[in-house]
Amino acid sequence: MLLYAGRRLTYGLLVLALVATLVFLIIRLIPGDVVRLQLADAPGVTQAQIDQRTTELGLDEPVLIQFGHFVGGLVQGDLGTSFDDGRPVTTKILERLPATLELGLLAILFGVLFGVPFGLISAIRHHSLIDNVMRFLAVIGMSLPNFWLALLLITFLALWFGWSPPLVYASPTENLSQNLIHMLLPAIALGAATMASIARMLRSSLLEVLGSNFIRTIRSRGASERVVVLKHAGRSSMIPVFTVLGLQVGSILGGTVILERIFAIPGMGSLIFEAVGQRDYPVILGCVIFYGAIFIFVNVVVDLLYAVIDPRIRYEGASA
Amino acid sequence: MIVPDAAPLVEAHGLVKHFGDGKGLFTPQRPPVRAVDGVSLTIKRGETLGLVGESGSGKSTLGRLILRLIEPTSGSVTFDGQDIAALSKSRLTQLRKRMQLVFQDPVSSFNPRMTIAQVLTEPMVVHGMGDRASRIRRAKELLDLVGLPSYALERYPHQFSGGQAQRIGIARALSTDPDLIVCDEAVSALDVSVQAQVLNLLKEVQRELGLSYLFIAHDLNVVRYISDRVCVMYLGKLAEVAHADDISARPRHPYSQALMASIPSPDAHHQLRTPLAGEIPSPRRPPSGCRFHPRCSQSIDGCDRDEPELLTIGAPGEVSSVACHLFDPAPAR
Amino acid sequence: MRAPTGSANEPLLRIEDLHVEFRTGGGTVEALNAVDLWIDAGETVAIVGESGSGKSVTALAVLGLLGNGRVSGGRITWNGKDITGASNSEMRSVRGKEISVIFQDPMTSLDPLFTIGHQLVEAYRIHHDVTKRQARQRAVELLDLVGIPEPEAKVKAYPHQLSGGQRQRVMIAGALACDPRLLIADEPTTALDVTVEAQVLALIRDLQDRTGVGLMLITHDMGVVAEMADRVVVFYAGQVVEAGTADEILDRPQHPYTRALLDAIPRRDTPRDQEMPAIPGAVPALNDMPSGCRFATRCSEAGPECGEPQPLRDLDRRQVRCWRPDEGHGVLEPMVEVAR
Ligand SMILES: Nc1ncnc2c1ncn2[C@@H]1O[C@H](COP(=O)(O)OP(=O)(O)OP(=O)(O)O)[C@@H](O)[C@H]1O
Ligand SMILES: Nc1ncnc2c1ncn2[C@@H]1O[C@H](COP(=O)(O)OP(=O)(O)OP(=O)(O)O)[C@@H](O)[C@H]1O
Ligand code: SF4
Ligand code: SF4
Ligand SMILES: [Mg+2]
Ligand SMILES: [Mg+2]
Repeated sequence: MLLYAGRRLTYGLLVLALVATLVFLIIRLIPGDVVRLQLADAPGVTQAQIDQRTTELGLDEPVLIQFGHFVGGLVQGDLGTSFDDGRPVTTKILERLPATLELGLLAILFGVLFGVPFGLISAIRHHSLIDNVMRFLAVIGMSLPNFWLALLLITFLALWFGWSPPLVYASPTENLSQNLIHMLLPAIALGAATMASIARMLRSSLLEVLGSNFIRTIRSRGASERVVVLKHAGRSSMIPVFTVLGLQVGSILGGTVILERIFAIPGMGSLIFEAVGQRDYPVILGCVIFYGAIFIFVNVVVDLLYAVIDPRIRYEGASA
Repeated sequence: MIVPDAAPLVEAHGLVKHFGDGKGLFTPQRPPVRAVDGVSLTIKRGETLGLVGESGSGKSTLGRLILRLIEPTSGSVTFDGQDIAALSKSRLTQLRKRMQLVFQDPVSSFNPRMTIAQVLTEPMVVHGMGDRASRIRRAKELLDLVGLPSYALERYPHQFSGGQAQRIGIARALSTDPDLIVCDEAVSALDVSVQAQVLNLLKEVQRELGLSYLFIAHDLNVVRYISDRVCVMYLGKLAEVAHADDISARPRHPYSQALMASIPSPDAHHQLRTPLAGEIPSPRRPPSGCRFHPRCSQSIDGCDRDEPELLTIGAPGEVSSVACHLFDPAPAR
Repeated sequence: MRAPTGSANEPLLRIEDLHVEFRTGGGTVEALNAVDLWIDAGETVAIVGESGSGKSVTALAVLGLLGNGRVSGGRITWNGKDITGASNSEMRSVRGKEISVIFQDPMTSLDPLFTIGHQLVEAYRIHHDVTKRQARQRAVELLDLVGIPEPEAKVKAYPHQLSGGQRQRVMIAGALACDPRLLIADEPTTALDVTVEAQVLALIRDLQDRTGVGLMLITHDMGVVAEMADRVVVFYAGQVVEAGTADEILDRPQHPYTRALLDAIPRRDTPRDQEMPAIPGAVPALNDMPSGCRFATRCSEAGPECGEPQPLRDLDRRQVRCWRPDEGHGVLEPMVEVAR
């Protein structure tokens, strides 16, 4: 088990390193120049000033050396300083991280809280009316882009109930209820796809497991349907559901970029949005690495959960 | 049936296949699975060589080694006098034409979207045999040979029963006019009534075309019926090679005896077999000395220490070979 | 030769004229059409027949586990009580407690995510109000009973850590956890090697001697029948075609199908230079059954009478679904004299 955990973690770190490298290179390849962007509007900028700024930002060095600095900083947890305001990138991100985490967690919570019962009901009553309705809704939930869903929600709530979400963000420590009301719509918009994927995956894997031989054995011993479905079939179906959840974390993270913008939430999503506009390389890079790290961390946790659930994975490599 | 004194069609020498001995980047080294661990055998022209043994004893692996569908860890196979390990890719492809495989589950080995005509002509296309018209003609002949009507050509695999599908499997194997067919549990999934049909078919085809079979199965009675000689395999090694009638009438190796004694017979009412104790050990850690010694009721001093060799025994000309110290002229020290 | 009726001698299980249908994509198919059999307490009845003849469906019908199928006719009587179409909750008190089952494939019949101890404890506690500790004690006992070495340690093992033979032993342990009166074994050894098969059958026999449990043994292996059965019921295409004592059926089969089936088995002394006496053709498909005798298309003795549906006739010491055999059944000689 320890061996397995170590292996998963190592793979995760390797992937993260690869992601960081790729992002670093891709950003350098994007056309456009920070220095000109920053200084362009200022009248009478001389070449000397441009050169000086370039040196300040360390952009005159060869890409390889820049990369070396970047990696050197990275291993010490230093992501450099923002081109924009000169503050450490790590600080900027950590300021914004809580809001994004809260939004993401709420979205997942919403997805799980509704996706699991929907999937269960669909599987138990498969091919019934309620199953068909739920499956139809799931397809819609998965195909609607989250920002579109968010706009729909805002519009309809405003039209029908004359209610619109607060415009000013309050952190949970300042005003918890206002914060939650603010987060409600984006969390639903973000979590809808997760809910739909979980419901679908749970339904299909439950149905598959319910037809399997070992379920027949358990039924033949006189077990109640509750034990059959919730305990045995449910546990077996958790692995694909966790897989979906791990992948959904990726789309949820991606979705925060736009939704935080729409709902004026000061999270990492809006930070990266601003940074892209200003070619603030270190901030972009830092945010992407953070996103990547969260995603990879979640999926390592999912991998470990597999092992907790399934003894065959747990004992992999350990048995004869 | 067997061409007397002809050069053997297949000769395998010291075949070894170990699986999973390479350690991965993050996987610790483990002892390899010794699926086949030093097997030498010959298959004569026109002969059926049977191969029996418990699950996991390495029968399928040996069959695939002989066809060179997998690379041996060591050892060699010669087919019609040519060392197939030394052959170039193109020569090997040519040789492949002459050796075919029939599997246990015929339906799943066919592409469900191919018609039987496509299933049967595909190997001919691969080997560039004939033109379209002649290939279809041959497919019809093959169906006729295996006792199916020619309208089967337009049908799809799922439209056939298990026995019919296995006939098609045999027809496909015959399409390239091979000298050797490896039948890996080819009749094991069939009901007895249909199994008898397919066994008859295999014998009839052999009588007409003079090809050789390596017939792998775990049902000793089936193997005995169809084979000329039978190899008994245990944990990657041959325990005994004997004439088919000898293996049932006078099994020599204690494992062959146990195997014979464990076959349930419709004629022995209410007689419980005396079960062989224990189960086949892991091929990752085969027992020392004779691999059968932990389960052998006749083991003698030294069986757990010295590995018996497969030695020819009996009068000269007799085909029996046994790997057991009981038959060792120089007994274990 | 029907089981005597009347409450005193009522058999443990009686199945009368059972019909079972399945709803499938292409309409309904009738998997069982006229199945009659009975099992007395402590008796071993073998059910033989080719793949698809309805052996497993019969077992599932008894347990009320037909899934998308339903009993469309006939009656199942358990211990004097009609359980045809009983509700799921009624059947739950029978399943595992009075009638238990072991399935063919030991590799997939245990839940891979729970220890075998857990699964045995669960099986016991479904019908017994005991603490986990007491049930665990029972699990260890059961593992010991079925010959698993070191049962105290093995309760903590997961199914994938056991060999096929050991898993089948665990399945047997689970089936016997609540001391049922009837054990249905659906091809319990088909997936196992002959040497292991011999061990498992010996175990079942031993347990029968000790507990007096009745056995409905589903198999397609006549050798297993000879070894285990008191009586034999032969299935063909969803019907019972012949039934009688094991000695009668194996030595003096009367139905042409039973005789052909026995002849088609390769034996240790079947002459190698002769053709195997095979049965031509294949079992007709469920949706394409002949209206008369279902074996007629393959029967070497078919005549014009065979176009009529054949009832299961009671003869002297057996039942046969064929008009040919006579009372006293000396008429049909074995088609091939099998050397003994
Ligand atoms: N590709 C593979 N990788 C790892 N191990 C393998 C592989 N193929 C076979 N083995 C192992 O090699 C051993 C022999 O397998 P093989 O399939 O040859 O046995 P067999 O005698 O054909 O058994 P069966 O009767 O079950 O078909 C087994 O322990 C099997 O698990
Ligand atoms: N759930 C189902 N839906 C539709 N048809 C079914 C279902 N279960 C069984 N059948 C059909 O009923 C027939 C009898 O099946 P059954 O499983 O009883 O055969 P069997 O005698 O047990 O054969 P085997 O030896 O292969 O186990 C088969 O033709 C099968 O296709
Ligand atoms: S060598 Fe010894 S242990 Fe092996 S089979 Fe012969 S007698 Fe038995
Ligand atoms: S009724 Fe006719 S076809 Fe059917 S088994 Fe008897 S003789 Fe054969
Ligand atoms: Mg094999
Ligand atoms: Mg069955």
